[in-house]
Amino acid sequence: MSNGPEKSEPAWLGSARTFSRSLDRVISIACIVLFAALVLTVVWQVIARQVLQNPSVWSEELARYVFVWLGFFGAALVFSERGHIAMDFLVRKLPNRWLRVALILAQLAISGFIAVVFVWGGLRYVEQAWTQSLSALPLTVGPMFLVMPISGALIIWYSVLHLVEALTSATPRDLLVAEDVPVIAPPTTDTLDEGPSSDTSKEA
Amino acid sequence: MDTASLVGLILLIGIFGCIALGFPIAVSIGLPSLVAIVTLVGFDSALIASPQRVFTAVNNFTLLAIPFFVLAGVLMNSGGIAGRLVDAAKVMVGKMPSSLAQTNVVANAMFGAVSGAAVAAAAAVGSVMTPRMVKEGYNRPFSAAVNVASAPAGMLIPPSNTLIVYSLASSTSIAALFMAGVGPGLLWTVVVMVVAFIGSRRFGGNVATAHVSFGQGLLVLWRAFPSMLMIVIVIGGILTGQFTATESSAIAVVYCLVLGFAYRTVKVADLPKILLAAARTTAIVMLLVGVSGLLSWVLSFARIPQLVADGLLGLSDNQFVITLLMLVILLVVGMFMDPVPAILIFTPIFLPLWITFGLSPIHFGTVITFAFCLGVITPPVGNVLFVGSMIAGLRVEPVIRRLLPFFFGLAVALLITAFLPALSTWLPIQMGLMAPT
Repeated sequence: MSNGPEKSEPAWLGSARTFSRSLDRVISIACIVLFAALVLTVVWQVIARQVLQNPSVWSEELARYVFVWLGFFGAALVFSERGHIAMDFLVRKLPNRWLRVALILAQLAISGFIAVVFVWGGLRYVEQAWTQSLSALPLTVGPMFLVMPISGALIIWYSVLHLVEALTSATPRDLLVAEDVPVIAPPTTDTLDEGPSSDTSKEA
Repeated sequence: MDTASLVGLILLIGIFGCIALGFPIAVSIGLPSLVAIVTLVGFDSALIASPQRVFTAVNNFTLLAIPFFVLAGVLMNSGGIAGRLVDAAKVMVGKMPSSLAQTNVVANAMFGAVSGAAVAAAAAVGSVMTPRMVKEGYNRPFSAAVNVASAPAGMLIPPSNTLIVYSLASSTSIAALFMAGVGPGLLWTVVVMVVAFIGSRRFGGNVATAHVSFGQGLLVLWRAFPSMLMIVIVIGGILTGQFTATESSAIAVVYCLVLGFAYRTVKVADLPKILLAAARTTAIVMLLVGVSGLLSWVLSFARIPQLVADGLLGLSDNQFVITLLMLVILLVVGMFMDPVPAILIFTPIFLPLWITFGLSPIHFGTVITFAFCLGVITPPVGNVLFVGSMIAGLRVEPVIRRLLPFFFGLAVALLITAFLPALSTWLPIQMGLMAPT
C-alpha cells in the first residue's frame, strides 16, 4: 500500500481539495455571521431587561439555536482542518505502514459515527419533529434540527477526502496535525522599563 | 456477563482504544457510546435517541457562556493586555526577592483570571517574561518552569470555562462554583510562588529590583485597572443576580471590545478573524459536550457509576483511602487527557460516589479541576508545558526537570484542596450561594 511512485494521487483529488477550500470559506463566513448574531442577541437580552425593563421572550431561545448552528458548522470546519483534540503521541511512534492504517481507521470511525448519528439518525428526527413548535419563536423543531444532518454531510465529505489522502499520500506522517499550538499569537505592547523582546511567539 | 458489565467493558476498551489510536476524542467518546446504546436499546431506538441526546446536550443557554468567554479571551490577547498585567504584577511583587519569577507567577494568575485559558496565559505572559528572566541571569529551563507552573491557576480563578463545563456535567450552580474556585486558585498561585522563591536561590538571576516611584506605580496599576475591572463586572453581575453567567460573559465581550477599540489594539477589520478563532475553540468544546451527552446517558442507563463505586468500595471502605484512589486516577487520566473531555467523562462516574460520602458537588468541582490543571503541565500530553517550553525555545525534557519541585508542591496543594472542603466551600457559603454541608 505504501509503494508506488511519489505522486500516486488521483487527478480528481486536486479539484476535490479546491472545492474543500471554497467550502471552508463558506462555512467560515457562516460561523462569523452566526457568532456576531449570537453576541447581538444576548446583548439585546441584557439591554431589554436591564435598560428597557421589558424582558425579551424570544432572545434566549434564539440565542440557543444560533449557538447550536454555530457550534455544528464550526465543528465541521475544525474537522476540515484536522483541529479536533486528539492524542497522537502513540501513533507518532508507529512506522509509516501502521501509521497509515491508524489514519485510515480514524477517518472510517469519524465517517461511521457521523453518518449514523448526525445524518441518518438526524434526518429521522427531523422528520419526526418537523411540525413540533418551539416555545417562543414562531418556528418548528424539525428545521432547526436540520443543522445536524447538514453539518454531518459536510464532516463526511471532509473525512472521505482525508481518507483518500491517507490512502494515497506518499508521506502519511505529514497528515498528522502539528503539536498543539496556541490559537493566538500574543502581541505585547508598551511596558514599564526595558522593552521586552516579544518576537518569540512562534506558530508552528 | 450481565449487561452493565458488558456496556462498561465496551466503553472502557472502546474509548481508551480509540483515543490511543489517535482518533479525535469526540469520536472516541461518541462511537463506543453509540455501540453501547445499541447494545442496550437496539439499533432502531438508538438511531432516533442518539442525535437527540447530542442536540439536547448542546442546546443549553448556560453553555453559551463558553463562546463568549473564549471570545473575550481572544479579544484580550489581541489587545496587548498581557504587557499591562505584567507591569502591574511587577509593581505588586517587584520588591520581593526573586522578583521577576514572582512577577511571572502573579501576571499569569491575573491573565488566567481574565482570559480563563491556561495555554493563552502561558503563551502571552511567557513571551514577555521568559526572555526578560533569562536576560537577568535566571536559568532558562527554570524560567520556563515558573511560567508553565503558574499558568493553570486561571482555570480555577473565576471566570473559568473549565468550571462552566463542570457545572454542566454536574448540574451545579456556576456562581457557587466560581466562588469555590477562588480559594484553590489562590492556593495554587501561592504554592508556585513559594517554590519559585526557593528555586530562585539556585536558579535565580540578579536581584534586579528596579526602583519604581509611588506615582509611577499608581500609573501602572491604573493602566492595568480596566482589564482587572472586567473580572469585577463579570463576577459582580453574577453574584448580585443582575445577570446570568451567560449574560455577563456577553457583557465581558462588549467590554473587551470597547477596551480594544479604546487602546487602538483591535481594529474592525480584525473582527472576522477574531470571531473565527473563537468559533473554532467553541466548536471543539461544543462537540465534546454533545457526544458526552451520549456517554453520560449510557453511563446512567447501565448504572456504571454504581458499578465503579461498588468496585472502589470493595477495595476499601475507608473514605480517606477511596478519595486518595480517586485522586490518583484523576491525576493519571489528566496526564493523558485534556481537562474538558476528562471532566465530561469522569464527573458522572465519580461524583455520585463523592456525594455518598456526604461531600458537596461544588467541592468536587474544584478538586477535579485542580487535578486536571496538574494534567496540563505534565507529559506526555500537556498543552501548557509544550507551549511554555516552545516559547522559551527549549525542548520539554529540561523544563520537566525544573518543574518537578512545582509538581510536588502542587500535589500537596491538591491533597489540601481535597481534604479541606472549607478551602472551596467557605466563600460560596458565606455569600449564600450554597447551603452549608
